[in-house]
Amino acid sequence: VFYTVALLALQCAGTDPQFLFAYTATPKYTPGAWVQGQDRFPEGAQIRLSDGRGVEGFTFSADPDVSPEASRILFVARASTAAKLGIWEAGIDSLAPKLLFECEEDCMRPMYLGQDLIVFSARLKGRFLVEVFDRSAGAFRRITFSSYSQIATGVLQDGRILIDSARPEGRFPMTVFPDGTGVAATATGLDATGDNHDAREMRQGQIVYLSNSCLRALPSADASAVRFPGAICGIGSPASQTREGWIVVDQQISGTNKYRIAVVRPNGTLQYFANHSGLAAVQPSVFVPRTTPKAFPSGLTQVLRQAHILVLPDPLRKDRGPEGKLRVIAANGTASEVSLGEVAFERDGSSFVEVPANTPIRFEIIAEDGSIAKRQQHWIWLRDGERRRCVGCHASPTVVPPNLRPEALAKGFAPVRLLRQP
Amino acid sequence: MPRHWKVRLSLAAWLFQQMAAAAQTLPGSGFLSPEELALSQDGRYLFVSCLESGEAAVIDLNRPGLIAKRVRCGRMPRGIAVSRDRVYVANSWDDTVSEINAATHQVLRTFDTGMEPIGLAIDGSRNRLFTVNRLSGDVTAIDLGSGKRIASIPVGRGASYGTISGTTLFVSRIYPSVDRDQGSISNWVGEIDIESLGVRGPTTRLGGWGAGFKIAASTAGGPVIIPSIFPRNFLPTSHVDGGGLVVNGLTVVDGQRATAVPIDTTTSSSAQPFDAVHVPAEDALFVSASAADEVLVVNLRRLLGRDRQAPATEPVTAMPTDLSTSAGLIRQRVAVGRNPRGMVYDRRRGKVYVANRMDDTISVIDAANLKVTSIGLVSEPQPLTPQRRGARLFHSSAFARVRQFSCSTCHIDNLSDGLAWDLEQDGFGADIVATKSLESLRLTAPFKWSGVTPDLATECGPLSERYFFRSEGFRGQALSDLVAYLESIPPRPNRFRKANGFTPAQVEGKQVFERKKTNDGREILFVLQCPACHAGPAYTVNSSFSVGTKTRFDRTGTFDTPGLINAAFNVNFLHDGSAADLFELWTTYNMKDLHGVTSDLTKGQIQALVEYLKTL
Repeated sequence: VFYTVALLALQCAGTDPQFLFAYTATPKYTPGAWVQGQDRFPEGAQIRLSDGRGVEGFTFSADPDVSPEASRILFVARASTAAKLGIWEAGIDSLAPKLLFECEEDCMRPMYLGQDLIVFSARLKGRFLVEVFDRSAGAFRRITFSSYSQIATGVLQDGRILIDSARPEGRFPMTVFPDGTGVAATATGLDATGDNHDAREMRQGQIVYLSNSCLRALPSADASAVRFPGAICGIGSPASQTREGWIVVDQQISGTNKYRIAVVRPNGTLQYFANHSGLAAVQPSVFVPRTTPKAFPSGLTQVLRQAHILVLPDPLRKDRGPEGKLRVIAANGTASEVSLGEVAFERDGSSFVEVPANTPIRFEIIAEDGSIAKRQQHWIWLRDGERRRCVGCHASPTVVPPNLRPEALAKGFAPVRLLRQP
Repeated sequence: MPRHWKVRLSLAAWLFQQMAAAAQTLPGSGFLSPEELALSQDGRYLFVSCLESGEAAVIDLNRPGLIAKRVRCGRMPRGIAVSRDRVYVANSWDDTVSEINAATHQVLRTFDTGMEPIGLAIDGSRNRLFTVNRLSGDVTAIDLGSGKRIASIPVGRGASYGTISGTTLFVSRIYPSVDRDQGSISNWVGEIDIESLGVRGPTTRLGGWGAGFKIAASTAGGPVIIPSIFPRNFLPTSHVDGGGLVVNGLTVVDGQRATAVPIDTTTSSSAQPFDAVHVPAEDALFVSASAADEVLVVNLRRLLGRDRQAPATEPVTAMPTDLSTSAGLIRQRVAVGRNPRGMVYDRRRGKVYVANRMDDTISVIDAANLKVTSIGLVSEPQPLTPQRRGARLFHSSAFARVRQFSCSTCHIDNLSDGLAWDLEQDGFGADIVATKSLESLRLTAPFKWSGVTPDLATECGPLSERYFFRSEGFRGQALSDLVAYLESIPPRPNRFRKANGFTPAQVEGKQVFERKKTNDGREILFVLQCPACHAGPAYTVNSSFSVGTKTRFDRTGTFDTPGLINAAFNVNFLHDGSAADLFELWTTYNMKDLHGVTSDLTKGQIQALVEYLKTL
């Protein structure tokens, strides 16, 4: 009761917090519509600033992302009903828009990486995938290869990209480097069967994400989940952050399809911004300088067309010996999957295989009786020339492999080739 | 005397003292680079060994604003120890120890030691000084009464630091033992009975342990704790996250049992732990993380309690495998100056002093509230040179993903870690290569064992960030500074090259090195004569050749010709580090006479050749 009274008092006081942010004003917002390949803004949208200004000259604009130095915004926009969607940029002073590139089909959520790179999500044949645009080279690079739709939701200070993977069981946040390598589940502590999505890194390194539209937090992208102070639900978009460290979100007004922008104080209380437009206010992006994401030096050779993965035994699992085999499964389109083959584990439990690059794959451990002892839940992929090693198939990121030469490498470079095309 | 005159005289005396102290700071003499610390027994003076200036700085803790005195010692002083009324400084490049009067700060005597004394320990009851000598791999025991060396005790290559606890001198080593056939490493703590001067056995060996540094005694005769590095050199270097290249940790040796715990987490590392001091009042262990510019406050009770939970009878053969265990162990990470090295605990004042090598300061940590103040070692900081800026970068972990390591993690004190690594860019399991020493680099381009890297800027810039750091690395000015530092690294003094010329064995070895005919008079092809490849100021023609050392791990048999300056100080030899010493190089690894013609040489000739090579 006190909580509600306090919120009402704040609203009645009408004292908006003093910081500048961009947001999207829309009659209707269906934030998860992209999962089914549908439109999140079926009745249109326009980007506005909290000081009353707007990005003018578009029939549609949305998805604002403020640059690290807080002087520009990126957004998707359509100049006319006949025009293609494009990724645009505007300076905060003039808000004069500049087209960076046009999208083939739908595109969404452009975000600034370091080193003149932009990450965005594009729809291709009914599914979303994530691409990186190199502004200086004018080149595009696809970085996700999955059976599911995937979109970028945030950029970590260390240069990695947070993506949502739209599995049938629910969305799940993963991380990937800007060259598409190193894709990994964000944290093993998350409920793999739940709907966890829209993760963003805050300045102190914690990850704020949504679980069934309720705010949650992780201490870091690699750590297990922690509780967020208070239950704050009905959130539609990834969070932003003020200079003071307060979290800014869009929250659905209970019983309506309207959203409004709110500031979450460190103690969990919310302060709402007045919104007299009658439109939903969503996707807040605060103009506050933040650390430019570190550049990621890609080690891809650009020579190899395949990829290599070294499976190391999990040193914390004493119950499983080298018995059984490793099976690699590849996705064949969206509906079916095919086994690329099986390879016996070495005596120490290691295995070294060559797999097709840029293809969704997952692993299964086959027991001696032929049953599936363990199945990887997420599809991953390796880029052409990527070399990865993993500990077990599902070991925690805190597990360190022992410093022993894997028997799979005892003969030098001799991977088992599992290259059957799915 | 009128009171105002007393005040004026006091003020004049204070001003005179300050001027006299200021005159001691030798402005313009360059950087001091404080390495280790010791406290006088009355607690008044803090003694600081200063690597670059070759001095022991003396700080009066009753007036900590300025250096009270700078005492000239030898080259590259490292270890420093205090007895009742004497201070001892290990001059690592002179193979000597300076004895200093703790009250007058005058150098009294100089003792000879083994090669490259690093660590010092004093047995006050027997009036003995122990030096731990890295290059000769032994401990020198000196009777301080007579000033004579009374024993030289072998403890293994890379022996560097020593601490007495109870009746035992514990000795750590920076180079592990490598089992190339099994693909594993291990290290151990040497234990010497300080009474009999005999080595205690069996040694307490720990699998997976790479380098061990200074040693802290938790209680007299109780467990000792060693800041340590646990490398992952037998795994491909494709990942940094999750302890991918190294894990920084603490090794606890308790009787015949050794265990280790990590001090890293998945998202942040405490790179290059170097020194540890026990602070009984806080039941804590303070650990300097040199490359992370921080001091960790470790819950000692938990550290030792966790250790006791390990199986008591089974030897522990691997380092900890779960980084989450560090979470409950570390109470606080305290930011200090650049490159914190040696520390000392001042029980009277409740302070921990930390020598910050790369900014010439001493951090003073209040052990109770962890507030940090700083003492400058110079009245005015020296202008930073490109070399000094480069040295700071070399010793910093800021560029590696999750700050896991710095350049100096593998190139310990500009040498190597004694390991061979499965570098990722060649493919998993292929082209295992030994870490090279960085001395005299300027003369040895191209780089890497493959010889494909044309210059240091390429190696330290794009290649290092792609294949080591996995993060934005050295670029622009930072890269230029780092290269300037690397090119300025001087070779250590060569202990085998005497001023009065070669020994007879060295003369014979030189003849073997330069010979053009075999013992039975056959002509040796020019390409198989030693100077054909090992010529010039660094004894390399800067090209790659095949010398018959290709293994099943190598994709090519052609390797860059290494320089031979100070080759004797290498930890291992050949591109993969497979030869343990120079003698083995010409026997086991040159059976087909592809690495020069040596099969006709007598054992004496090979030994002579080795003696000559040591002088280069």
